[in-house]
Amino acid sequence: MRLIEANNLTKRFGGLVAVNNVDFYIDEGELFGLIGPNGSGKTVMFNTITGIYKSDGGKVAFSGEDITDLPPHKINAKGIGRTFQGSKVFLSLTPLQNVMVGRHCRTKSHLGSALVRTGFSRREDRETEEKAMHALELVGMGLVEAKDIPVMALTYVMRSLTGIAIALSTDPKIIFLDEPIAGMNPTEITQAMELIKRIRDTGITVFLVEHNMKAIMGICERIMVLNMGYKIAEGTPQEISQNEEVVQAYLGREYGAETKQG
Amino acid sequence: MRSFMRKKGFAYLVGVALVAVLPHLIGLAGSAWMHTFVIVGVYGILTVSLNLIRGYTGQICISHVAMYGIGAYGSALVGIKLGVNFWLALLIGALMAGMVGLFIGWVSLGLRGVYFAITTLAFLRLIGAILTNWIGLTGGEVGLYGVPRPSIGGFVFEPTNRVAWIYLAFGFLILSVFIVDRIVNSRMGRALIAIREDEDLAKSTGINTFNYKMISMGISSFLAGIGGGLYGAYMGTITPADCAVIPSVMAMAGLVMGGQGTMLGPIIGSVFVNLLPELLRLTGEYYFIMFGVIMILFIIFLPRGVMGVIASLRARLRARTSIKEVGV
Repeated sequence: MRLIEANNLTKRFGGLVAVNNVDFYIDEGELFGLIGPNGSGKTVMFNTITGIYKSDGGKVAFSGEDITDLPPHKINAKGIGRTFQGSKVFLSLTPLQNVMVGRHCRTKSHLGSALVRTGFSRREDRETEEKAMHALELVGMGLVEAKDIPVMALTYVMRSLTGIAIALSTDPKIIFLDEPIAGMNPTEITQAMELIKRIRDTGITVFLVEHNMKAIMGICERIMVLNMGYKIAEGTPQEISQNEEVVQAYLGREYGAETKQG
Repeated sequence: MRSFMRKKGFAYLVGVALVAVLPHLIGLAGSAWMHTFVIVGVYGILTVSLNLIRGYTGQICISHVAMYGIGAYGSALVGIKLGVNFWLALLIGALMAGMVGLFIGWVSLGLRGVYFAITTLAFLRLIGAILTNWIGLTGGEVGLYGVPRPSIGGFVFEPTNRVAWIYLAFGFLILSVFIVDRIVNSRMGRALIAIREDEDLAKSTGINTFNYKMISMGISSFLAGIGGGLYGAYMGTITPADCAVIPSVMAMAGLVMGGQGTMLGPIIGSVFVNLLPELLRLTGEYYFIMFGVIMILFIIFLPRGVMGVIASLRARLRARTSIKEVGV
């Protein structure tokens, strides 16, 4: 079943077309990758789908429902969780508190129940904490042990993981990961790849943006390649790695020509 | 969690007990301080409310003190002109402040950071201009006087009865701390703090940031209005200068010195900004220079205020005891 389907998606910044008429889809349960050189429009694509930017053309459907240009909080409520590049997190909060924030759209307590501290809101707070712990446990990699230390004092990697845990705690049907393994060492990358597979195995579809070709080739089932806002290829890792246009985009025209000759 | 709640209940108990003996403590220092402490209490309500929008929601709301003014003018006017009972007048004034706060929020909360701050500064000046120039209603520069005093049954809170006023002001202060505390430690509070930390991430985490900023603005304006209404009733008079740029800066300075985003910070801040002028009285016209220097020292050396110092001391103590437990 189609989970995400984008048609002619376009985003401009003045004269620059950052995402140009891109069509793509992601099926439920897939591990779908998006790659491209710096400035090719990967993050802009994420931001346009998740409502951070307003699109300049095209449509995005989620489970068949049009979600084009909905505000970010509504898109999240529909079931799209995301992380941000550069491990954006709530810096002065602890991982546990960070992840508890993520439960927001799945809980209901409001101003009144906060003031009176009704039994309902107390139960819900307890449940929020439990669910947050589940998300921390799913991520693992030392995050549970660090749950009560302000994220500010933790390593960059821990911040990235906290970001993933926040997105997971929103009960997403699909999770968008924007360069989750940036700044990780090889061992951590291996663990993170395991984590991404684990997330998918819990039934969450994964849409992964990555720079690290090796990592993405290793786990994605299908990959789309962007270059200067255009979609230049789509296919299995095998197909992508042999695609001439992709090789050129990454390594330059000359190198592409050489490999063709060789 | 439960023991945490019990600890908190205990903290409130200590607070109430402190307030009960407060007039006697101040009396020891000299009864001249009694007046200052009534103002500390009333001004504390303003700083506590500012803390909700500034310290917890992260919005630099410069117009906040104008809500204090609207609470004061609003309750005084319905009291003077319509003869409304004080307590009802206080509520009406606070509701007016809440409404104006919501309007300012509706106009400017779409903006972020310094743009929001500048817009609210404009509102502060705008409200100041209205209060100064709508002489028929507000009495212009001279302001309003003969503001009705509160009373319960036959007991009237005369301003000369400082002890009664300290209880009244600090009673409302504890109530506003309680309200802010309840809000902050809830699902809604988590949303507000998330907005303070990172608004984009908060949005993508399913939080309708504009709505929550509006709610925060409305409640903090309402509470500021309560503080203003009490101030007017205590002083018996209210002028545009009471809610202009200088008190606005003082409220923010107090919040920074006490510790933004903490429960006790704004109260400590209110003590600071109201006691400093008295303590520095000898310096005469140099007072603002002294105050400026103290403020700068605070920002450089204690950016998280008094509460920040306490927090880091406690953290250090905890680290030491945990080392002991491990047996190092």
